[in-house]
Amino acid sequence: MANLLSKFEDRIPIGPIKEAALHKQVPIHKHSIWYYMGGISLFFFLVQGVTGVLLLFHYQPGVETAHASVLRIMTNVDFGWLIRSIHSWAANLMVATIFIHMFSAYFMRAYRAPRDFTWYSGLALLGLTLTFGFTGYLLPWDDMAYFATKIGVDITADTPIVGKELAYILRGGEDLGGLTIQRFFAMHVVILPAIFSMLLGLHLLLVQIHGNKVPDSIEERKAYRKIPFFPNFLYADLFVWLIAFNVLSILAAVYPWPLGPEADTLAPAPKGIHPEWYYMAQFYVLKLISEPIAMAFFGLSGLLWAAVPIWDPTTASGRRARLATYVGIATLLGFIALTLIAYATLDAGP
Amino acid sequence: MSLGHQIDDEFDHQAEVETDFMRRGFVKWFIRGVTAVYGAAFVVPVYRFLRSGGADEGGVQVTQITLNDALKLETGAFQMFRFGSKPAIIIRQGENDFKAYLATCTHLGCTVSFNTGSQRISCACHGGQYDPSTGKNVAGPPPAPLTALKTEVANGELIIKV
Repeated sequence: MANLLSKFEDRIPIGPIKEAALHKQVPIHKHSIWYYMGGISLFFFLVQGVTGVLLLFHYQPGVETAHASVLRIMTNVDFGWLIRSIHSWAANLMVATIFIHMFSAYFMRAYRAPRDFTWYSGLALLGLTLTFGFTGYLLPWDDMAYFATKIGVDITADTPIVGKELAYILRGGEDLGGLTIQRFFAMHVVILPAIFSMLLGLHLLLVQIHGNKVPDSIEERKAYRKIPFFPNFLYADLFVWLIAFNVLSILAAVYPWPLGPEADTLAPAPKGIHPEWYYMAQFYVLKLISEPIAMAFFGLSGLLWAAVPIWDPTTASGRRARLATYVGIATLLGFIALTLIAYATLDAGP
Repeated sequence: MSLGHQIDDEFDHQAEVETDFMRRGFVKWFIRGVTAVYGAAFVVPVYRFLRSGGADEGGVQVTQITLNDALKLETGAFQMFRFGSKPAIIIRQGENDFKAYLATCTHLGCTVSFNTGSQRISCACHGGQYDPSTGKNVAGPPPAPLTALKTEVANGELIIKV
C-alpha cells in the first residue's frame, strides 16, 4: 500500500499541495462571515454543473422540441420538476451570493493590489454568470424566455460598431428561431462552462496565493486571530454548504419553478412582463430614459466600478478610500432602490 | 486522602470516560445516519430521473400487424418492415409461404438482410448467416436463431403476429 502510494506520489506529487493546504490560514474576526460568500457561490456553481448535466439527459433543443421536452421533464420524468426547479433556483441564488461576495470584497478593499487580478477575474466570473443566466433563460422557449431574449439581443444590437453583426450571429438570422435556441444552448452548456471553469481556476488560485484580505480597520488594531484552513475552516465551509443545500432544496421543492406557455412569435408581449430580479434595476431605467443613454450610463458605471483598483490604490491620506466607500454605498443603495421601485411600478408603468 | 476516596474518584472518572465514549459513539453514528439519508435523497431521485421518461414509456406493445404489401413479392424475394418499433424481415418462399423474423442479428444487434443469390439471411456486420426457412443460425458468430414471427394469409390479407 505504502509502496503504491509512493509510486503515485512520484507521478503526481501531491505532497507540496498538501503541505500548502496544511499551512493555509484564515483570519477570524467580526467580519469573517463574508469570507463564506465566495464558497457559497462556488457551491451553487457545482450544483448548476450537476443538475445541468442531468437536465441534458432529457432536454432537446430545437424549435419543435425545446418547450415540449421541458414540459415532459416537468410532468412525465420522475423528479424532473425538482431537478429543473433546483437548477433555476440555484442560478438565482448563485447570482445573489456573487453580488454579496462582490460587495463584501469591495467594502473590505480586497480589490487593492496585489489582489486586483482577483477582483478583475471575479468581475469576469460575474459577467459570465449573468451570461449563463441569459442564455439558459431562453432554453425552455416559453413566452417569458422569448421576450427576454428578444430584448436582450436587441440591446446587444445597439452596441456601437459591432452590435448589429453580433446580434445577427447570436440569433442565427434576423429573427429568433431554432438556430437561436441551438446557439444559446451551445453557449450555455459548452462555451461558457469551459471559459468559466478556467477563470474560476485562476480566481481560486489567486485567492490561495494572496490569502483572505483582512479589513484595514481590523488589521490596524490586530483584532483578529488565525485558524488553519484545513480542517477547521474547511469544516465550517462545508457546514455552510449544507445550510445552502437545505435552503436550496426547500425553495425548489416548495416553490417549483414555473414554465410558461410555449413561445408564440405572433403573440403580443404578456402583461406585467419583466426580467429576473437582477436585471430589474436596468429594466426600470430603460423605461425612464432612452435606451442608448441608459446603456452608455450602465457601461460607463460598470467600467468605473471595475476600475476601482486603479482609482483607489493604497494611499496615505485615505481620502480616496473614503470616496470608494461612498461610491460603494451609493451603488448598493441605488441598485436596491431601483430594483424595489421597478417591482412597485410593474403594472402601472412609468 | 483515604483509600475509599481514591476508589470513589477512580470510579467517577471511569463513569465519565464511559459516558463520553457512548456520546462519541452516538455522535459518530448519528452523523453517519444523516449522511446516509442525504446520500439516498441524492441518489434515488437522480437514478429515477435518468431512468424515467424513455421514448418507449407508455407505448403500446405491438403483437400483430397486417402487411398486404408483401403479397406483391415474387417468390424468393424479401421485404423489410417495421414490427412495432423493431425492424423485421419477410421472405416469400411460395404461393402462401411467407417467413418473417425480427431482423435483429442475435450476435451484436445489427439489422440483417436477405441475400437473394445465396438465399440466406445474412448480417453485413460480422458475417452471420441464418436459414430463411427456420431462422436458424447456420454460419458465422451468431449464437442463436432469429426470433420468428407467425405469418397467416386469410381473406386476401397477410397477417403477421408474435
